[in-house]
Amino acid sequence: MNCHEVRPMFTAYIDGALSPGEYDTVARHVAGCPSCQALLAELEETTFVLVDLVESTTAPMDIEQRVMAEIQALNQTRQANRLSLVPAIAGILGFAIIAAILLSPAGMIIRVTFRLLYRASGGIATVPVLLGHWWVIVFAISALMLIWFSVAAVLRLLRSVQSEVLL
Amino acid sequence: MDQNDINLIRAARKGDTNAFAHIVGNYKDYVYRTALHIVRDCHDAEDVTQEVFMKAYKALRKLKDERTFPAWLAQIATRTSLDWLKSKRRHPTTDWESEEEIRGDTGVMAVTTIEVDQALASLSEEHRVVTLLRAVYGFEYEEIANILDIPIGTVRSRLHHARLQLRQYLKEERGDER
Ligand SMILES: [Zn+2]
Repeated sequence: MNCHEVRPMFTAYIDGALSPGEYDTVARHVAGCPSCQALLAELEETTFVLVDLVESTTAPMDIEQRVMAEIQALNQTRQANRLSLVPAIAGILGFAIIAAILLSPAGMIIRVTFRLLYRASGGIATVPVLLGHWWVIVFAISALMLIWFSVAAVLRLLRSVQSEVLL
Repeated sequence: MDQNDINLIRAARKGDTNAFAHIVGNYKDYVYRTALHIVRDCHDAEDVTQEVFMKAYKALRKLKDERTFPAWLAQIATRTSLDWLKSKRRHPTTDWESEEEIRGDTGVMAVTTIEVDQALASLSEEHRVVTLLRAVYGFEYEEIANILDIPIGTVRSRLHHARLQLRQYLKEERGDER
């Protein structure tokens, strides 16, 4: 083989990427050819300084911290997204269960019961007329009591939450 | 790549973030070197390195064989760096050819290192990428062919062409000095 044919194999020769046959061919030619010997030596030196250059740079110390901080932020958002999905899924599931019950044979009974109750409530509506203006007073008193109960309950709840926070 | 790295990757895949932190520590230099010599700006290279590890973290479950991790990571690093370069060319913000932008501190570099750095920068993108995959990671030609999805013969010829060009560049630089 002449110089022209062996030279394209020089880089692979240096990198140890030739087949044993190719390696022998190159080695045999170079042994008897000074100009190819010179080129091979230069390419070897180039390879050496190239690796030297690449290895002279190192990543900044804080890269790990930056990556880990971003991963932590990512995991937190992922968790938050998962948590916000819970009420949505619960709502959809609840709605689906109610729809399934109403559409099932058992739903027939519920619907009939509901209609019966509706008719019965029509009867209750006539009660105020029978009681005259007295029902207005009864209604007002019961409404006031209900408001008072709810305000008291809310205040108590707030107090217990506050003490928990303090603890 | 040793057994310790394989164990770390296995643990990270199961959600162990501490194991992933160790992987970042073991591979950050490789990724940073790839990024630096492609994007040629130390600040950009830091951002690219961070992006590469985030991509790896998110896609780690898709990695089938732990032993292919270095090649897989190198592929992400190469693609991310090239994409970064492409988007930067589309939206240029700074004069990225200036020498100070390329390196934070040129003072610590030996004269030959600066010369080789410039020689490497003079290579075309495709020649630079194969050269880096070989010089940074020491990958076999077949691995480089798989990473870049090109024939092994192309890897061989590109590597040789690039090495010849680097040699020529250095020879001319030194000839000018003497
Ligand atoms: Zn010859």
